Amino acid sequence: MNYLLPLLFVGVFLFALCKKINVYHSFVDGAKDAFSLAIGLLPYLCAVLILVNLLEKSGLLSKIIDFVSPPFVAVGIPKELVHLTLLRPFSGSGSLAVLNKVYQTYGADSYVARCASVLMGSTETVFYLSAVYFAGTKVKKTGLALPIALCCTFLSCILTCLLCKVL
Amino acid sequence: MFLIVFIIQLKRNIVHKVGEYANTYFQILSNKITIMNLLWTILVSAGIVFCAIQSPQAVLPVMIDSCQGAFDLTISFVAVYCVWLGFFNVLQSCGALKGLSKLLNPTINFLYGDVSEPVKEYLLLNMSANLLGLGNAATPSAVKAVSILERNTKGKCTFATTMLFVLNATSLQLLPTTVIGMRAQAGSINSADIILPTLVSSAITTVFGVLLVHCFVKK
Repeated sequence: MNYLLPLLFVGVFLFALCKKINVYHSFVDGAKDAFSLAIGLLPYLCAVLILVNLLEKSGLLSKIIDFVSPPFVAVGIPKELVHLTLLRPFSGSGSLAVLNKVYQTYGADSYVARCASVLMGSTETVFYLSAVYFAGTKVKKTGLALPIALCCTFLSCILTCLLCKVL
Repeated sequence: MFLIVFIIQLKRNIVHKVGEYANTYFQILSNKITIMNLLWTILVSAGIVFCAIQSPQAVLPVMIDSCQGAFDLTISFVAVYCVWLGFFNVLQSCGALKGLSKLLNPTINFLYGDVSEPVKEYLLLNMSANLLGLGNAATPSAVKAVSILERNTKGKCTFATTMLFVLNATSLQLLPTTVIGMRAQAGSINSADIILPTLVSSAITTVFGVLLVHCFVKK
């Protein structure tokens, strides 16, 4: 598995060379777009990170999470994991920190820890992702993209807690 | 008499003007009120207020630190994008993608509907990168695809973009490497036993997401 990436690169470069393509030129041409694409993200990332950090620093996030947790407990998500479930769409590094805390308090092989791991693996930082994807385009109304993605995340949380009991 | 006519005229004018203003105002309002706008403004304001109650001096540093973080992230993006976009271009120019795209054409057509040839190639790259667990290769290809897809739409999110976003948000991947590594570090005996539930869970949500997009988003 570790050799996959190096092999892929070498294979494609040599294949392109055999097809008489100027690999060097082609690579530079592609890399040219990198700067403008990435810089276009900056203002959006700023906005999202300001939001997340302000909520975390002020302690408002944990208050909101405590407030909205009953329905999550009702659908079978363990109380210990509600925090992680709700933090996950907003902050990747924040939820990794919570995951680590779960490992330390409950042990890495407990049911709660397994649930938390699967949850981390099968969901994404949806809000951050939306900033990255829609930045630099003229899309002002993301329509149903965000609600559907959040629905999927929610379903994934419920499924995870069920699956971890069975598998 | 004149006065009455004048007043009626004036009133009509005013009503007309007010109506006009109200109309434009509502238009502006409906253009500006998007989920993100409302959510962001309210949450950030609440965050600032709560932060200020605890320590008023902390508000500005938090905001500036966040932007510093965003900047660092962007710079690391530039590096990642350089490598992958360069590599993608080599892939494209040597024609290696043509064969693959013919092979996966039915899948792409089913998922994304009618899209142009260059977009298809980026979508293909995105799909393969996601399945291989190369998260940092998936993002540049997706961003590139979206930037081409949304070039000619008037600020509305197209079917293909919605599908791409949902597919990436459900994160179907074969190996959740980061989490396995963290678990092993925390002293787990069998750190890889989360692979199967992760795979099953993300597969089901991916199917669910595809169905939702097909049902609710106009092609």
